[in-house]
Amino acid sequence: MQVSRMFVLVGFAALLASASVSVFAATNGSIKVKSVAQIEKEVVAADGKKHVERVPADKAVPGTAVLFSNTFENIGAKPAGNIVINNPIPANTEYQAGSAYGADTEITFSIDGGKTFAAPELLKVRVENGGEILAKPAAYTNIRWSYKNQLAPGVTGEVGFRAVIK
Amino acid sequence: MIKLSQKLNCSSYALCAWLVSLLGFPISVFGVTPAGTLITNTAIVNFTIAGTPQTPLASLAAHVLVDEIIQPVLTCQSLPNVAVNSPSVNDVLSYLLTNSGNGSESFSLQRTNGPLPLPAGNYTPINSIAYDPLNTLTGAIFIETNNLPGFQAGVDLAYVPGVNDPVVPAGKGVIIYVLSDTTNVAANAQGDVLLTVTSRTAGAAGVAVATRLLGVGDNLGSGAGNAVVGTPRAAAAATCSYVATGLGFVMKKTVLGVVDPMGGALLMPGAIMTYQIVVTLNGVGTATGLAVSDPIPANVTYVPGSITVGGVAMTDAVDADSAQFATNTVSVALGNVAAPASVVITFRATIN
Repeated sequence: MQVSRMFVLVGFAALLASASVSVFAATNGSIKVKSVAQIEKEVVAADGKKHVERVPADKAVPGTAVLFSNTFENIGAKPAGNIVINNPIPANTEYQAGSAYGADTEITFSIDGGKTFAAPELLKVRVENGGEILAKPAAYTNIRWSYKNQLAPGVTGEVGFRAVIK
Repeated sequence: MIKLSQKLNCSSYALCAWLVSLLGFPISVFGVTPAGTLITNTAIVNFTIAGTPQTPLASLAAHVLVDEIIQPVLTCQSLPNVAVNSPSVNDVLSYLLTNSGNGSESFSLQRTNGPLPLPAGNYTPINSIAYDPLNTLTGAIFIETNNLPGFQAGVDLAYVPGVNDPVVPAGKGVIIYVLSDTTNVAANAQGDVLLTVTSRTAGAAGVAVATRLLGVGDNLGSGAGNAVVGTPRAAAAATCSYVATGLGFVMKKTVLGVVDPMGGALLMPGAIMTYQIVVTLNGVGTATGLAVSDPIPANVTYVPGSITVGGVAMTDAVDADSAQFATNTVSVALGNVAAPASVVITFRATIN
């Protein structure tokens, strides 16, 4: 019962994504960060236009693409710099190729559990005959976003990716 | 799944599933996340304030609970069609039920005997086999119990709906046997049995794919999440078939008698057993080149010169008579035999 209530609350927090205060985000007084799991659903509005709506992904079957997003906000008085967000791909999921996003960030990936990061075109794995091939996105273990700017007080950024439940 | 079938070189998904179930792989070989798994996402943020590195910060986690997907797969394992005599009793059809979902699931079983009506696409009416009237919707269905290949009467459990419905773990399989009797039918008459397996989760039967079932039901405990229907009607069906041969052929081997060294009838070293093989042909037609060969079992020794065919003594040598004993095997070449006919063969062996 406790567990399911927590899911409801996480989903609720997702709905409050634009709210400035949330007890569900970790913070150290300068930066606040929270991770949210959502499913994107195409809905048809009354005017017939289609748009994608995010709904909380508290429960899902294997094969579902889940949108994991991390929002980070500077709640301190001074600008924050050198912001680097490292997100291990959750266990039992597979990174969906090309899905990582984040404005003003450099996005790199790891295939060794986060020891090293590189752009997809530089991630190579050795094959039996001694050659090297590009690592498949499904083999990615971590995603890293390096925020290129200073994050001014009160400013919020969002990064995220999609992963499919195996 | 596809990778697995390539590795094992098995011809069908169901066969793979069966092989996998025999090999005892955990379900992870299917790559399907078990129902009830909690998927957690956490990000770690590093940053500086005024050029000074700050303590890395972990986000509070986002969670996704993996729902159970109900996805039975049923295939007929009796290929080609099972040849039956006319008449005949207790002929066995084998089906493989695999749970390709991600949680343990219980299924109810139901048979539908041909001829019509059977669902379109599963049935090719040729003629009809008359089934024993006792073969009801849930009659004469057995569940593989001792993991020995093939149906073993008295060992493999008779299916009783609501009592021993098979519970199949995710990624595992169970063999189901269906037995039927055949009455007098024409040669090449075909009889089909459609076996249907249906999830016993409450509300699952008969609903469309992707229906999300909330609340309590059978085996919903596997994960405390929802159950989602993965196959049409949360069911699967497969048809196996019998085909009547024109010529009925029955071979029965018994121990006719035992004589121990003291003149009694105890099975003990030195006792001589008389084996009897009765070959019966029924129906219409002629069996051509009919031959019987019977390897002598372990721990007994053939008594030289003991073969009789139709009460007539035969020699062991390869010669003009129809019988011979070679490479520890009794062989009788009966040649062309017109039905109906019955041939009795006996020979003796000593217990070592």
